[in-house]
Amino acid sequence: MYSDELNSSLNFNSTAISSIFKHNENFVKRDIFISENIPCQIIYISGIADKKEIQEIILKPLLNLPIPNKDIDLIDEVCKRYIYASDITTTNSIKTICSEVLNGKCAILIDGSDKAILCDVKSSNYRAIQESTTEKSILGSKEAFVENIEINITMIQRKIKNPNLKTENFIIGTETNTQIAITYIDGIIDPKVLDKIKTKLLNISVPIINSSGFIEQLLDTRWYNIFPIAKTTEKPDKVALDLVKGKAAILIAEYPGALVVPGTFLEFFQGAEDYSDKVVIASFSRLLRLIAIITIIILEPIYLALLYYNPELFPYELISIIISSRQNIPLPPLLEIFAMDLAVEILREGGIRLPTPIGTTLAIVGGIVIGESATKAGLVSNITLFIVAMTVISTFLIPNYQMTLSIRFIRFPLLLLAQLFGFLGILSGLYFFILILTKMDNFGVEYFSPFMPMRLSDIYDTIIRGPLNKVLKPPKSLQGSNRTKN
Amino acid sequence: MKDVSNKITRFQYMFIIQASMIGLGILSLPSSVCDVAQQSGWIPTLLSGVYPLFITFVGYIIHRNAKFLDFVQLNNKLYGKILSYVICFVFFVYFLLQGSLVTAGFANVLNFSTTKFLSPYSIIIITILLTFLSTNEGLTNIGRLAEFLFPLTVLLIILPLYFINRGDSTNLLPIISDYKLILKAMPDTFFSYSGVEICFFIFPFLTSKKKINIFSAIGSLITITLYTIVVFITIYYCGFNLTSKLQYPLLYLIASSEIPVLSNFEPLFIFLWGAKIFLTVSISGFIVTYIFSQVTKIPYYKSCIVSFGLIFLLSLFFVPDYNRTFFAGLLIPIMFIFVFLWSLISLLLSFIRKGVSK
Repeated sequence: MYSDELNSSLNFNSTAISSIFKHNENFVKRDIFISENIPCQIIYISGIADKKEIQEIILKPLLNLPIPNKDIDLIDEVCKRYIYASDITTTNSIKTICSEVLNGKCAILIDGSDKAILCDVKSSNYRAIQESTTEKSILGSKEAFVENIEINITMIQRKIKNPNLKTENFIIGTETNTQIAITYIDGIIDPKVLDKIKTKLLNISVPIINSSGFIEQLLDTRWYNIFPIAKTTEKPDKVALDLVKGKAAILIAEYPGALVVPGTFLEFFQGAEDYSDKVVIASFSRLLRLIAIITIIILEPIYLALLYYNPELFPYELISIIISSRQNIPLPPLLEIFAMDLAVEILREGGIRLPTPIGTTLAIVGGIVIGESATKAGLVSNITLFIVAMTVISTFLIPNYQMTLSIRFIRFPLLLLAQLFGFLGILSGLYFFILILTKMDNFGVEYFSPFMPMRLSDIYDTIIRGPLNKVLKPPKSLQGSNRTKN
Repeated sequence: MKDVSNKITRFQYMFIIQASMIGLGILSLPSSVCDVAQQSGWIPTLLSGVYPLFITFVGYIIHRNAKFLDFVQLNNKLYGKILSYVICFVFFVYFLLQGSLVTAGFANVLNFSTTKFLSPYSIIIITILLTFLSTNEGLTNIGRLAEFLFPLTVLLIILPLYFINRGDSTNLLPIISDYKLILKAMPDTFFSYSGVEICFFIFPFLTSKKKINIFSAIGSLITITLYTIVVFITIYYCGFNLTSKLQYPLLYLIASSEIPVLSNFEPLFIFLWGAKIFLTVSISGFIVTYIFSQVTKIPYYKSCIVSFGLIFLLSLFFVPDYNRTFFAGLLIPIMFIFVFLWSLISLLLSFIRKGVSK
């Protein structure tokens, strides 16, 4: 058992660190002598640290180090005069050395000194910046985040050249020690909101963090919540827009995306392209999305309630068509709709796992084939198929994948309620979901803002999109600490 | 233990005031008012709008003079401890009755219209469950709901306007039948504005008290407009003779429309109105819970369970229409007069006490 602090014996320090990396095949110790006879050791993890850089900026100058003056601090001298690395720190903590070495740094231990030099020689062997495959942009910037967190932060910094843009680092994941960075614009973000985000991040204690989905779930204490609380994006331009509006972005090492917090309900229905289009065109797109959402949620339940309990509410012209299409259909309406919905969901899930062109083909061909065969077999009526198809197509209008999943889910309990209580069931179900939304506070910001509480100044960027000069101002709804003034 | 928050914004206050008055009155008001005032029924509806305006204005003055104390403390200050308990009890019963009468009436209307297959008792259970969930975390949540559901009121106003060119203007003539009849019909219309008395309780919870009278007036005027339009259009379309003979003339009017896809507006109306009813019952439930919790010092969440238990039991009792109309006819006017007198006396006392404290 070793203490956490280095002492002046290189042998002791080396053994202590080596014992921690005992079975790590990539752990490299390189012994050298500097200034003729002073033993020195270079420690790094092969693959994470860049060997060439170690040779050039550490080994070469160290091996040519002249005999030092006895009175000087050797560590300080080496740092200031001989190492070419731009990012250098010193430490006497073994724990810090181990975690930094795992982050791609190289540690230099010198005999007679109880400190180690840490140089940043992280390997830049990362995927190049490419266009996002999931968030295609027609008019906006093409670049998307990569797995390197530093490059990701740089991409944001390049877009926001503002000294108030701050980045704070955390380590989360008891086993993985994953670097998490939170970035925001000081002076725009509400300090209370920021504090809540940081507190929740610091309270996370799990062995591993792999993606933004992990962080999002761990930030939300309500396991039963079906709505996303943060927006995941691969695009730095979207993050920049959100930061300017007073949000924070959480970046995760080795993950090509950012989590934008706090999320509000309506923004999940707003596409990035909305801000590039003209006011009327963008507002029209948003209204179309609103109609699509209403269609997804209530079209099937209303059809079921009408068919099962209130057929008298169909007008005369329509009822004859419905009767003729439903003749000899053996399944009750609920099962009929469920069966079709299930088939579509299976196809969709299948499509996601396949390469994009095949997946799309499977979804379309599968949908047509299954729908056609189901109606021909007399299992499903034409009108049911039309209703289900309309619902499924409407889901494609929601720009955010997480919200699509939530909205798609809502219609299933509503279908059951419609089957049990007819129109009252649908009304109750919708009221219940509204209740959930009204009760949700997201890091101190109301989830349904700016409608609850009403913020007239923020209405311009909701179901319509107003002029850009009004839309791009930081919304008052995100100022959690001032929100009750009205 | 659930977190309870009662803070509301001025907009939320306005929407709560507006929603608190919407109950069964919207369906049955044209009938009762036309029975007395005939084709001029819409005039007393409009004139009675002075009641919510008066109550909210007086409520504000009382609270301003008493420095926005909460309701129990306010009564303690104005009337002393014993009388304060009596007053709180009457208000408790008043809102308990309001909540249960509306719930039972809602169940009956649904049973009468789109959900004939469900028993009123099932409808009551669903309503009580949802309104309990709306109320159990305090007034803030109700304020947010009122804000969200406000656009439904606009739709409720627009819906009768569909009939604007389908009626017969002779149904409205002569515009003023008899001044005495108009005055005689006014008490009935006052009752349809009951519920606005919630303002006595919620002024202290406002985060900003600036220009409150404007917000009160707008909230009241929206409901006054809604009621007046409903009565006006019903008379215009059906005539006062038919209107006065129907139990729910507005439902009859709505069901007589012919539109594509759905045969009429009835399900849409039930949708919009039903959501407003959930809100109205939640508002009454909040007051019942609040008084109960303040007087007995039982935590809010537990009081909420008790209050909604009481509303549920009373609603079951009021399901038979005979019970509902009998008790509503007997108790509500008495309570109504009490509340009115309380507001007048409190207004006077608040000025006197204010002077004393100075």
